[in-house]
Amino acid sequence: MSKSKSKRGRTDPGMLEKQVLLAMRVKGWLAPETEAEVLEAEKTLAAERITMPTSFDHPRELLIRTSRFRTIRSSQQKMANAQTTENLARAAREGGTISPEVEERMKRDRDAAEAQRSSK
Amino acid sequence: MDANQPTTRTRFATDSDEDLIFYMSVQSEDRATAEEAWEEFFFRYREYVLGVCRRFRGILGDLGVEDLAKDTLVRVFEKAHTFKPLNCGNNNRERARICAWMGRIANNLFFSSLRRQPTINFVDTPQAGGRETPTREEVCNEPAESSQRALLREALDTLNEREREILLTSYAWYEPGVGCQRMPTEELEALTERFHTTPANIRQIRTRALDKLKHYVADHNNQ
Repeated sequence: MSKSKSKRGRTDPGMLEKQVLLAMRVKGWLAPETEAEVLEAEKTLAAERITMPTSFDHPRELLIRTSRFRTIRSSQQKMANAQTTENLARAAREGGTISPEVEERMKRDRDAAEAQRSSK
Repeated sequence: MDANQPTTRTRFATDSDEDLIFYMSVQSEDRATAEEAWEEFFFRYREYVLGVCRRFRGILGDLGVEDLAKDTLVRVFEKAHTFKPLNCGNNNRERARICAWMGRIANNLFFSSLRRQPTINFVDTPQAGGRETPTREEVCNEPAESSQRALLREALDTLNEREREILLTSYAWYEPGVGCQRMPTEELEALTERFHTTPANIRQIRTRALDKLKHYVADHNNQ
């Protein structure tokens, strides 16, 4: 069966896949990627009634959300402040119990690092 | 359409679309201006972008379509520096070019979302999203005989919904010059659940769908 099929279809499989992807796009199954496809799409869209969801009313929030993600990611990565790590190591060397002084110093280090980060 | 158009909200209301993209592109120097320009751009294009993203409703659902449209517009802000303006003074051509660019972004985000990769890079890296446009353009500029293309588009109508969605989804793992790579097991499982079938059958359906297209074109070419 496969032999006869390959005889019938003379197209190279890789080329066929490329052409199918292009055909799907031209047909409107994907977003338009050329000026001609855009013009066709706009004709279709003009006839459609699109109700805009309310989440599209405040675009700035989308950018804020994005930059907030960046901050979270970045603060997680940079959490290990060098001085704090040193204080922890010292506490561990001295028997594993962190004294209130060291704890206070660690807190100050962390606050200072976070303040420095947010001012950048 | 007009009912959805907001009243002018920014000082960029009279600027051209390409100018807005330029202001966005210098965001590292003036973030506030870039954001304001993007806001104006967002209101000009949100309806178009949402409209074309609705083409993916069958696979993404309504909420997925909304997310894709918003991600596409956010991506425009992030990648504004990569846009090459026409500067021809013809607003319609400029608009069409911008829409085509956003279409490439939307398609890439769509396929990325299927691959369950982050659709937006939340960490600033120079490479983030950099290969999207050339990859799509390669496909877009592929020369093919117009009769063959027309036949292929006709042939797509012969696919049922299941074949259509499986074929489209499989392109998330397509690499130009390499072909479709093996679909990851978890994605395959998601498809099997959705279509109430087995992984082996999903692969079969894809192969059969391509065969169907190939045979349609071959048969009609001979006529």
